[in-house]
Amino acid sequence: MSIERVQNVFREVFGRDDLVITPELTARDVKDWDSFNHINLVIKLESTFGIEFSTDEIAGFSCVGDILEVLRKNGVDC
Amino acid sequence: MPYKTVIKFEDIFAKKAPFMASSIGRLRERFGDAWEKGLEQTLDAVSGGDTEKLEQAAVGYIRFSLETEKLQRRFAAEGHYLSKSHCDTAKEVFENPDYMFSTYLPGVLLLNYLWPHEYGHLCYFRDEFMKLIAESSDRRFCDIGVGAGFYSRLALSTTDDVIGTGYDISDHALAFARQQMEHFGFSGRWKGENRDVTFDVPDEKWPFIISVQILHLLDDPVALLKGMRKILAPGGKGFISVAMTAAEIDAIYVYNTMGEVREHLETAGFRVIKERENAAYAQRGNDPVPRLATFIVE
Repeated sequence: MSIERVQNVFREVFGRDDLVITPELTARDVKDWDSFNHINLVIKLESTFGIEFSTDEIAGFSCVGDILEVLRKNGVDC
Repeated sequence: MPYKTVIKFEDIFAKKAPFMASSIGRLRERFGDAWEKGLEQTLDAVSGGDTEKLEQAAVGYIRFSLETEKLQRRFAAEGHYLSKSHCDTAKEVFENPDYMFSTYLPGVLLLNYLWPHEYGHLCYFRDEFMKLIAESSDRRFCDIGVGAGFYSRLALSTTDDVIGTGYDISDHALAFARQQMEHFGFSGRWKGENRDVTFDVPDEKWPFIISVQILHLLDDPVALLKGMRKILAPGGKGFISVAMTAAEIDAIYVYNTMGEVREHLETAGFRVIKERENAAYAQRGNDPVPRLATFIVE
């Protein structure tokens, strides 16, 4: 399941093996989710799924649900 | 003291980009009331008290900031900037009104307060260069590469008899800068002109010249520096800064060290009086850190 791969990306970027993602999860809920790690997340998701997000998409990611929606638009089953 | 526009801006950040929201609080704690007052004035100037315009500026800044951060990672991996020539960036950036007004100009304006090393650069300008303007009897300046007009505006705020001319190759930047001058009541003391000083050196000479983070946007920075040297009046002073290892959308020339910039300044005939380097953040692994090289020259 790609949702597990998305979760694994989050776990790797934030260094937390117990992190469970939900569509409602935002930067306020995850320690160290700042602009630096936001870009780490974007770059890791892009390389994992072989896609490239536009700047508008990256700027619009205010919660995990937004990210999942854009991944789906790019053909990722998650 | 509560700064209402800053609080509104913080709320917009929290909704639109929660991963950036805590940065305002950290900056407030680090830089204090003067920082917050300056940000409030700048946000008021860009929004004119209109919440929708404030939101547009916030979104523009968020977009600009994330784009720059992503370009920096690419630069770390590839060792060169994305843009290849000044001609290309002129078309893609400076002559593109949608990008200029939605992203670039709000970005380059607000980073003066929202990027700590840029705020350090602002403080250096205020403490060192505005002091020189204030002490002079001839308070005319020329700002080469006006951008959002921020440093022209600061220079004009030194005393009420400072007069400035700003040159830029972008009509959109000049329009934005004029709007800033109007907001602060400086229109009568500032004029903007579309001119590429590298190829079209003005006849007038100024006791003060300002060039903030322009040289690395050019194919041949020394050619512009030579033009700038010609328009500096005898005994005049210049404030010249450059972004080093900083992959911005319009960056072309990679400066790696203070020495490289100093050498270019001296080749053009300037003598360095003071200099300062500040980094955007502490080194993370081996990746290049964006830094600012600032020189006061004569």
